[in-house]
Amino acid sequence: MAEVEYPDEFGRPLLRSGVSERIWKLRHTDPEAFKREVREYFARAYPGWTVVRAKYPDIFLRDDRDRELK
Amino acid sequence: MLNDITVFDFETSGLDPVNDRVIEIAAIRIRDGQVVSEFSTLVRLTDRELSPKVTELTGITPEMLAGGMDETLAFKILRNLMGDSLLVAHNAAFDLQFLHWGMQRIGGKTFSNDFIDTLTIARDRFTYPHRLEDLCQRLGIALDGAHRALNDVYACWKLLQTMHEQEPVDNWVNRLGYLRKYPPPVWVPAHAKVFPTDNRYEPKVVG
Repeated sequence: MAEVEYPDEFGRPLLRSGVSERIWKLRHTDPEAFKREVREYFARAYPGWTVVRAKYPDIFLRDDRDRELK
Repeated sequence: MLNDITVFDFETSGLDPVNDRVIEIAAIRIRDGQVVSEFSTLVRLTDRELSPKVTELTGITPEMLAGGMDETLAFKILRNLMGDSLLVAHNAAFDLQFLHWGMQRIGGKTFSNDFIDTLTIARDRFTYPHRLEDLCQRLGIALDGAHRALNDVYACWKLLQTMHEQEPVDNWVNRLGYLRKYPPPVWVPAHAKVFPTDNRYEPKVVG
């Protein structure tokens, strides 16, 4: 079996994505605003995906599109 | 031959690989038939406005791009994900040119990976039309949300698998067909074997 990078709880790879430097800067100056902006950004840009982890420069997303259809 | 591949796709602000920009990148690395890495990001446009036509085609809006990743970082992550794997794209002449010019802009480099163009294979094997969504429909491949890069990447991978099962695609590595009625691509990788080709059409049914 090939080794999966950044696996979720089922061993599938999480989607690696990211946001602008402006949003990343909020992480240090206003952590709550950072979380809010990241959530809002991905709700708009990648609907159906859920943010599960943020570690510069990566934001990791889980594919919940099937769950939304149910 | 397909044991280590990267299927990738760009959505772009236009058709000119030198002057237009990549606005979305998606790529999956597949080893031994298993997806081991997924990457998809919107890329911030810094010095131009997004055409409404692009928004109409892709669903990507200027507001979405405003929070997107910077181009330099996006291309570095893509380069790292690709490694030395075989690149796969549908209409690779387009995506490879944007990859080249993106890498040129951020670091004055290019790539030397081997590649497969699923469009070139499809033109040889199937009658017109050859858009990804047309081929998916013809071959029974699910494609939800065409023209968002990650959806197109998965469809392209399934298309490659299907065509490889029908007849091995080994002979198509680094071959890049272009329609004879148009000029060849302005830039191609040095190792590409470029050749003119024609669309084939279903015979017209009369009566």
